[in-house]
Amino acid sequence: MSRKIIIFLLAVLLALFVGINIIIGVNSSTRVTFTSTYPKTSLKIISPDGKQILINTTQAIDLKIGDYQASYQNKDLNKDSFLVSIKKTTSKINLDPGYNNDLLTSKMSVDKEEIKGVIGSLFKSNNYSIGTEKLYHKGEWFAGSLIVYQVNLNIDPELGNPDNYDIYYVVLKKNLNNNWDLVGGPGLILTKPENPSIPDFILDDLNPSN
Amino acid sequence: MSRRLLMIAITVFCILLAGVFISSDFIYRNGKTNVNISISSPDAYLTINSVVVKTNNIYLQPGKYLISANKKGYFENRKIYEINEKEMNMHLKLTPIPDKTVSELNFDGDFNKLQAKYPIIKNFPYDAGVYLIDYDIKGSYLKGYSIELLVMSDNAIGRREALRGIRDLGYNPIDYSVKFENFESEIK
Repeated sequence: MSRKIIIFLLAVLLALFVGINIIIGVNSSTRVTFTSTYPKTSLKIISPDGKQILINTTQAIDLKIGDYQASYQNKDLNKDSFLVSIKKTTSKINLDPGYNNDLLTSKMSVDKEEIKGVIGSLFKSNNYSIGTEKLYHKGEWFAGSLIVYQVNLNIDPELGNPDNYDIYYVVLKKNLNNNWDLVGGPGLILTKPENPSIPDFILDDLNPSN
Repeated sequence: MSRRLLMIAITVFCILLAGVFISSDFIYRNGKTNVNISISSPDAYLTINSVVVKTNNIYLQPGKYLISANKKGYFENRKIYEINEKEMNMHLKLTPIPDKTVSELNFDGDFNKLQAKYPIIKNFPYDAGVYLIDYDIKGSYLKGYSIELLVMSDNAIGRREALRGIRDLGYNPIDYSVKFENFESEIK
């Protein structure tokens, strides 16, 4: 076999090797477009090998297949990290970020009176006090606990007896007209099978864990 | 490298590739019979000798095969078929299983499945004195059975303690339907 042919065959082998590697490389990554319900969302993702990537929504980016730790960078958004899983079939990721606690607390002060009005209409008496109250996501969800006494607050001397009250849980949601509607409870427990329209993270946070 | 040599290399490569495909298909089909299997119900799955087959048009060596069609809510259609050298078309009919209510629940089979799905029920009835927890079974065989936890206590401490008791057993009560019995609610 002539030297020319040997060189040629080696070149073909090398081309095959490079080609296979390119195919493997293309198959291990995918082009992903991020969209968000919050304008100009900025997202930081950390790849499994520790590489940080800053992503702006509506931007298409080539990402390797795998699980990424992600967190929002905008100042109004909740910065808790969450998992973004990229698969071969992933082409679009729709983000739905929630506001941070400071913004939700300030929104709560605006909506508090209307929420109290809705809650007040739910019970037979006004023998209750609000335990916990919190807005979630972008402030369109409210969840709270209510200590409802079975006796008159003003006259019963046994008010301190813990047997005199039940803790009720309630979830409200703001409708398109900007009014609050009851969507869960009141109940001594709000469970996931019985409240499929309420996001799990709200039910997990609302109900006591011990 | 001359252009001619490159053309030869590409042609040889293409011929080799085509050869590999043609010969592998020939080897796969050689001596086998084309069998077309249709099933009366969509979304059913097919097994041949207990191996799930994803296509309904297959090539099999002549011989005996255990062929079955399966779908949830239907009786399995399972039979030994003899495949000869002549192309074969077969149609497997699936018959729906009549639904079973909770009262018809089979306590050897269905109940064991329910217990595997909801291991919490092994603890019930649970009588802690100040409260009692039991469960009720809902649903049907086809829709699937589920459970509802029943909390019985005549006072508020008992009701709160019952929820804590479920957590102490290692389960989160919010994952289940929970009904408080003998309880007069303060809700309008």
